[in-house]
Amino acid sequence: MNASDDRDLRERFAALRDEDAAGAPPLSRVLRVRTVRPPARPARWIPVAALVTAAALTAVVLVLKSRGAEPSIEEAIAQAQSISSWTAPTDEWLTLSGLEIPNSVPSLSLSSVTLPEAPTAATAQGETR
Amino acid sequence: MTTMEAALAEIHAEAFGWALACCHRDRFLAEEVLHVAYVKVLDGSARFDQRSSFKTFLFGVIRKTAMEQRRARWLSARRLAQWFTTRPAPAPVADPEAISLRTERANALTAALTRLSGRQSEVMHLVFYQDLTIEEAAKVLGITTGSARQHYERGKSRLRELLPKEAQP
Repeated sequence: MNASDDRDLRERFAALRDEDAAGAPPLSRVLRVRTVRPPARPARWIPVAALVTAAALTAVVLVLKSRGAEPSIEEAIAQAQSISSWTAPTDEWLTLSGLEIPNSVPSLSLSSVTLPEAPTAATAQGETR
Repeated sequence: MTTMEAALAEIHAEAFGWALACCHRDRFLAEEVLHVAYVKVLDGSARFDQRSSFKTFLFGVIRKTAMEQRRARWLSARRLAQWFTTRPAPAPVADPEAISLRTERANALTAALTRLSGRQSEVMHLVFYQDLTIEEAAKVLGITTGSARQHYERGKSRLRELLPKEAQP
């Protein structure tokens, strides 16, 4: 590699440079392209993000509202009573005919069996002698 | 015309040559790249910090812009087509006939440059076409001077192999 090689290369590049320079677009045209470019469209995710945010805010407000309203004492008592007195509609199915007999305690006075009377104290002593 | 626009006007032809080199001689893309690079410089998104010459700074911006454009080319195809339909009528000097009148030497050089590696081609262009030093070329390319020198030597050697020998005057 010597100086003449470099000179040859420089001449070739100079020829290319001159041709490029002759065909270069005017600066004004390169700068003007900016004006015909369509304006940038807003990003598509913005409306979606706005909707999601609005939905999240609504949900938060509803949850806070439902938690914040505490019932009065009277309402709480009435609610507790309604819960404790509640019976299932199917409870009636558990009532069978004849089931009241084992569930009731029989009374002796109502017995039909005649029992012997108990011996007196005097008869009891004679017998022992 | 602002100071920055005046500075751009001063090296506009060289900047266009560099944009062509960064865009594989695609004139349409080079013009687009040049426009985007100029906009970056004028609106301040690419700021000249005066650590190097304005030419070196601008060439770095053009190179980076060309890389971005190539990366996003498939996305911008529609935009380019739109731009093509709305752009002003081309200047008479840019017609295909004028391009076809390129000298044989320049054609041979262009063909040879395409057979170099990307880095070698860039260094060759910056040193021989733009008359930058190897240090300045390294700054434009964002590589070390040693690396740039290596690309310069190998590129020059390869170009000598590829270019036809000419009779010395």
